[in-house]
Amino acid sequence: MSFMEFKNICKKYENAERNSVTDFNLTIEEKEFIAFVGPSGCGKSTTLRMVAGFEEITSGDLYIDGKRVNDMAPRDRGIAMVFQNYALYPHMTVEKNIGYGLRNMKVPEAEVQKKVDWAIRILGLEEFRTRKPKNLSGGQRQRVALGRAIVKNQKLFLMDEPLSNLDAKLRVSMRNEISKLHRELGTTTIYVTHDQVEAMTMADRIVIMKDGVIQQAGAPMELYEHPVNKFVAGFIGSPQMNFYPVTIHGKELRFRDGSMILLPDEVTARLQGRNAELIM
Amino acid sequence: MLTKKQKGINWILTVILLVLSLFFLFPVVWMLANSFKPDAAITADMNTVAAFIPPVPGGGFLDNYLSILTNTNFLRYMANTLFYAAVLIVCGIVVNGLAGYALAKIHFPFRERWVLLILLLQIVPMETILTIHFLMIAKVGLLNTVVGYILPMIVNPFNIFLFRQVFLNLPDDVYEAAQLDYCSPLKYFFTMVLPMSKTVVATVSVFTFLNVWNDYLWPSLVFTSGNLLTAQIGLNSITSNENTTMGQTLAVITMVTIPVIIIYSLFSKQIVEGVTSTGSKEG
Repeated sequence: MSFMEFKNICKKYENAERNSVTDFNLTIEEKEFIAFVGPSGCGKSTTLRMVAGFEEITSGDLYIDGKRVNDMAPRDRGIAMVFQNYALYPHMTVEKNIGYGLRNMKVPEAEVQKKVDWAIRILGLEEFRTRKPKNLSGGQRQRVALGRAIVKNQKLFLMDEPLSNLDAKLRVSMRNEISKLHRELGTTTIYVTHDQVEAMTMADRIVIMKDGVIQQAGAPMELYEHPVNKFVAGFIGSPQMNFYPVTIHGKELRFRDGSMILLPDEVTARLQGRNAELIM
Repeated sequence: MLTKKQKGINWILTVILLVLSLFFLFPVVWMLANSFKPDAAITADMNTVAAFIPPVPGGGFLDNYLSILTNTNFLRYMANTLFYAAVLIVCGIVVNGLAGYALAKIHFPFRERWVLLILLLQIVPMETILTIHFLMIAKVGLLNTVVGYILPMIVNPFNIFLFRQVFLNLPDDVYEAAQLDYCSPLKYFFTMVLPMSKTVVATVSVFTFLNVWNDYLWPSLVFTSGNLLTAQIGLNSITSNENTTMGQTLAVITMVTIPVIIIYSLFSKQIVEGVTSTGSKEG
């Protein structure tokens, strides 16, 4: 059995006309870094929140480490989460924020201190350990949020657009830090983002969603080279693909304005003489 | 940048307000100055400017205060009131805070109707509520007890509403993060919600203190025993005693007034915030 299994997961909010997530089927192996990508409202965050236990699963089964977790409280699912707005405890210092969960787990104080020190060191927060969140920059706050997640030794990390509030430069460096952290810790990670560059550069596998339905799941290059539909093709790649309606007769490809090009043999073979809307 | 004309208007307004504030200050200064004088001096200074000037500290300067503190139970009444205020602040924050939190963050049927109902409670005249409280307390045999005095005063619709308004703005993701950090809902309330809402906690504490300190009607209904009386009732019983001199009366009024003035000057920010966040004032 895989580490995580989504079986026909559906989510329908009360009074909503249609499902927010429909028939979500996916397996995730241990230590994998999976990115959920898609435009706003595609259901990626809802799916992540169902994994965390903050949203009820309307139908389907969710398994983490062999256990069905549909009705399990968030704290019992063995997960740690990094939120979009950091969700730090504003009245606690950096070290208290990081150690709060451990203290609630009744971990001995010496152990807590050791783990907090380790997280602070690994995230480069030494000089900020006694500061409160309001006195930290966005990047430092996000690092504290990461620290809070990593100290608890959970089996699964959930990250909900953790870099979306940072400026472009910082986003690149934090992207590298998260990837490095994943390589070092090897914790299974689900990363939600609407930024395909983040997904392409960080994830082992990408799940592309639209209107609550998985469009394609696969390795970044697989999605890039062999998109299964026009949506995936248009979503992946930067700059974006252009779409032109064209007519094909044999090797001749003709645009609406009458201009024409000749196609290579291999492309002609794949099209099998169809009239088509071709992606350029 | 203010224009010359606006600056001029500001100056005039400041002067007018200063003059008006003197009208309010006169009785307080008069009370304070005369509380240090013997009755003969008070009468002699009555129609002169000297009525607003305290005597030079020296022999007998604190006589009025010392006689009140040694010959009456006033110190005891003040201590009682402080104790009631402290208990009511703690209980009030817990009970009204939890109610405000539920009304702000927990989804349950007819939640908005409950809020409306609690708001409507505010328009019921205080005397009506006090009568019901009195009958209930008498029926359960809690008259002339501390519990009988405190119990009906814990729940306060105004404070529930105040808490709710502030808690509405608390971010939900902090609660979600706390859940993953093994924090129980009750622990979350005490270790996260209250520290994150220090201003409203301070506002409610100040209002509660002022309510208890200035309250006369409810303690006069509940208490009959001299040991349990509050400062306001003590003040009334001392000042209505024929043997109390004018100077002693002023001294005891000063002692009742000073904590209120101190609280107002220290926590004016919280009081203003409390008033502006709900558009009403209590206390």
